[in-house]
Amino acid sequence: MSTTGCEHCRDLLNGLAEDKLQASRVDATHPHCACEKISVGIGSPGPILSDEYIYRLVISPGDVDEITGKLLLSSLKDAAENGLSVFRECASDDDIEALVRERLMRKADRKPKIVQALTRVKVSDIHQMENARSGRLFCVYDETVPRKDASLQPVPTHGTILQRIPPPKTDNRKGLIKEDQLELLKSMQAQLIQLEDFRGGLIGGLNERSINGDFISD
Amino acid sequence: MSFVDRRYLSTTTIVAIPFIFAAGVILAPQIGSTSTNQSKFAVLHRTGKPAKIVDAIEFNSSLVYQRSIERLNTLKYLDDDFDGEGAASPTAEAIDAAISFVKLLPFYAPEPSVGVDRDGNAIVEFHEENETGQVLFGSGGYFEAFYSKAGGKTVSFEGQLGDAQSNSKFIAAFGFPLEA
Repeated sequence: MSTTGCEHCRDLLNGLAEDKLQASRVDATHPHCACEKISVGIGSPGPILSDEYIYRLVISPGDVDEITGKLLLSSLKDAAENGLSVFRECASDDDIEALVRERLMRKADRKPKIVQALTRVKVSDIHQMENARSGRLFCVYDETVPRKDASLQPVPTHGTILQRIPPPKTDNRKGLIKEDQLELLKSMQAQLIQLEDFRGGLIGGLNERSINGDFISD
Repeated sequence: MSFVDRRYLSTTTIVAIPFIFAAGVILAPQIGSTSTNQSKFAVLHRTGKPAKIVDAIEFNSSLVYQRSIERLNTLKYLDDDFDGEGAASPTAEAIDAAISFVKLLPFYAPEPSVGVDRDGNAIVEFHEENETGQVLFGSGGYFEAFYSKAGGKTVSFEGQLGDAQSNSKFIAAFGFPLEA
């Protein structure tokens, strides 16, 4: 990829979470996950490789039904818009704590939030998800995102899963998008991780702190 | 092409059926008017059982899914930003429609998984080994339905609750009516 192409990838994958058209924008200009080959994140250790594992934090209580134990398909909606945030296996405990803390922050008059679930998936499994219609279904980028406290550097081991979505006006477009998301859902559902077992209870401890009144923003 | 083609019965449902059936026989005379004609037709069409007992079983399927209903009621009170990424609180209208839908699920429907998305919608999903269904309830009676079966054609459509054409499509895909 040319230097201009690399710069363009970095411009497109700039971590602006509100860009709901990010998935289609990236694929329109750099189709077939072309930007995966270069590093786009600030401070990133490099592109996310196929032999890595990536982890997805589930914070929304609406994304996983604790009665049936099912992760909902709707939890992957962002993959087709601004992307699904993940962290890499190589993330330090400090990196993970920084990501979790930001998600659990709340105003004093709001109810505490906790990490509801954690799931992981091997990047090669995502790379192998494809169909005849569109080829690869998802791309995995080492995109970093701005911190809520703008004075802090982005977490370098953050990543983003972006879906390759059918062009506008494709027949049954919404259905096709969800059908493709099912592939990812199955993989994530099969690899839900017990929170208490993960890195010596790192996330469980953060949940406890949240319940006990920590992570209050001004 | 629907969930009920294989006569899905979860472990919970199998355990619960004798109790539901017994309760149904006792309650049947009092609850004949709780179901709409459309769902009566769907159940009768599929089971061929006497109307009162079938109605009673259908009525009591809400007991099986009581925990799902309670969960939806809890989700109704989520604050804004409940996901740490700026989610909008679920609308009461969306949650109420989902609750009503779960309450009216026939006994042969798959076990629902319920939730909310970041845009204020309520979600009811059905996950089986080779089949997945999703119903999204929005505000103003808006819904989206999605059904997928491995090796089959994916069905996806949206509409307004109560619309006869949408309900026909829903029955064709899911095998039971869209009542809320």
